[in-house]
Amino acid sequence: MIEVLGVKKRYRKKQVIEDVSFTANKGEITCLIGLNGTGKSTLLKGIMGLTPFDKGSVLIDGKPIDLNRVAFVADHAMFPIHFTIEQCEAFMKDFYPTFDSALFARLVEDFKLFPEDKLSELSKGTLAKANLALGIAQDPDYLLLDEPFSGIDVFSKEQIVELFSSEIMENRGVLITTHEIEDIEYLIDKAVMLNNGRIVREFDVEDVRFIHGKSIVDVMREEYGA
Amino acid sequence: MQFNTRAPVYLQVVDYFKKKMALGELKAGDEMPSRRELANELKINPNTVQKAFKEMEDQQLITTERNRPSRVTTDDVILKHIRSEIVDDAVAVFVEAIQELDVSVDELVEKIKRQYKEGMYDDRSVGS
Amino acid sequence: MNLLKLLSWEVERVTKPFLILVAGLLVVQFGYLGYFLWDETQLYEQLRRAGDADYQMSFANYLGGTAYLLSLGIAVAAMLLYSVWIWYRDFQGRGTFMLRLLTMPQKRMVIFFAKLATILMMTLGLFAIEWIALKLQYIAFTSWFDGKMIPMNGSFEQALSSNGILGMMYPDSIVNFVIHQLFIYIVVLFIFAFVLIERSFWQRTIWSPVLSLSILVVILTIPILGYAFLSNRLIYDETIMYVGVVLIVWAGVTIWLGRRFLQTKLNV
Repeated sequence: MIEVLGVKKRYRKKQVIEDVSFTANKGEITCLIGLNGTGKSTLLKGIMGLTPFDKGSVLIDGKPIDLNRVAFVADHAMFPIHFTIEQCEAFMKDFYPTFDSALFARLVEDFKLFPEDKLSELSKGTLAKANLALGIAQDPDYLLLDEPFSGIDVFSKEQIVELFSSEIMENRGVLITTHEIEDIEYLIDKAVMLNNGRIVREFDVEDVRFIHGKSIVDVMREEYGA
Repeated sequence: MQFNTRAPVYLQVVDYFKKKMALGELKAGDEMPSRRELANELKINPNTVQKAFKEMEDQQLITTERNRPSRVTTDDVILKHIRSEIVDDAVAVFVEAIQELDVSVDELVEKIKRQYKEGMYDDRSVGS
Repeated sequence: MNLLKLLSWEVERVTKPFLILVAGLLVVQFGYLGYFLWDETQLYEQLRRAGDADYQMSFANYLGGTAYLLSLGIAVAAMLLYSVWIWYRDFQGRGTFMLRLLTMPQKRMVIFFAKLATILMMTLGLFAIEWIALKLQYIAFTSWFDGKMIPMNGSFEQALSSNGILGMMYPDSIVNFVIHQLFIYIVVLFIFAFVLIERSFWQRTIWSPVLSLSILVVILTIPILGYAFLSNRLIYDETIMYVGVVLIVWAGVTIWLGRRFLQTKLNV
């Protein structure tokens, strides 16, 4: 379980993240929902230690983060863009003891990636898939994905959604940020809604459908008044 | 399969299978698709499929033995019951909609008979 | 082990810019040498015709030429810039490599030392290449003027030691060489600390470089002020001691600062 406990982050006079606490379970897909600029990415980067929080703490299964067990996938390339996918893989093999080459090869095939392609030549959707493949091949217990669906083509989206409902993701905890929920409504277990740096709702999506007969978009409409 | 975003997805999955059983697409004792395959095919969360299977087991629509694929129940009573349940549900929805229009039963029956004859609603590919 | 692996990736990435720098350096120096030889020969002929036979060629004259000194200046500037860029390039652009580097299951100081070692290897490489280039230029220089029967004075070593920059780059004792190298490392360490402090400001404004610079200037000036105060009171051996201690403290403080900001404060 990822536990985020009372984290805060200021930017100039603005409190970007105001006392946020939530949990994300292993074996489930948790979605951080919020309009643009509500601090979702900051939260994810904070969990990874990429932008340290001013206050609060993060525990993974009760312990401080172990980067062997938690993978982060940004919404843009995490390698110099003149690198080929092959070079990225070679780099990962060098520094991630848990990197699973067979799994990576499978993902490359499923996603129809070409290992000799340079990152700079990839479309946004293909880059997202390459990033994801590199992240999953770390074979992590938890996977943090920053806007994996934003601005990518329909087919790439479909391939990624398919991956999430496959056995490759079994037993992993996934934390996704997104501002457009439509494509993954049926994929997520839990929604955590952020607004102005605060958590406004945290709920099991099936419960909300069952008890209130509401879709995630209905709840978003209530919260964001959009 | 198209889902309704406002109803629990797992119950929609259950309904989907009930329909298949009622229409005989899934017969008594047939093997159910694996949970993983189904999640992938429907592009939904595997946990949701798991929940749907659990619900179907609770309703005794399917049986699962350890480490074997689930199978459709061989209990005829239950299978027959599914069919009447689905029809009842559909009729209930229909009746609720038609009552607002203040139509007499006789008129309604007459209209239904005529439309059935024209074959408009004789299309059996209901499932979607 | 991870340090060596990361170092090899870093080295691979700097190879191209490094070779471009070396090529530029050699083209400028040998181009200038050609011009120098031609020009001096002309001058010598003129003087001889005028009956002034006293004129002697010296390699030191060539090394003091503007173009040669400029080529060294460019190399130094390039290395200073690269010490900054080796960090900033990983924060920039569509591929933010720093995200990867910082989320690797490795100690973050591995990144620091890999980059430091890369810069040091580049400077040592430049020193070695320039030494060979100088030897070759000296051979070309002497054989040209020998061929023209033009008299020369001064040895290769004399020419080097009489040149301000080269005298420091290639001192006559190995101890001095090591000390001068250490000076270079400390400059690089200061640059690294500067970048890491600047990159740690979450609220990045025009003031963040200024602020980071002022922190370092304070660290830099305290011992220098101390030296100004003490210089008249210290005897030679004590001065050497003082300088040694200051260098060690500077190196220690900058590494400590770099480590602190890299591990707990850096913002990507």
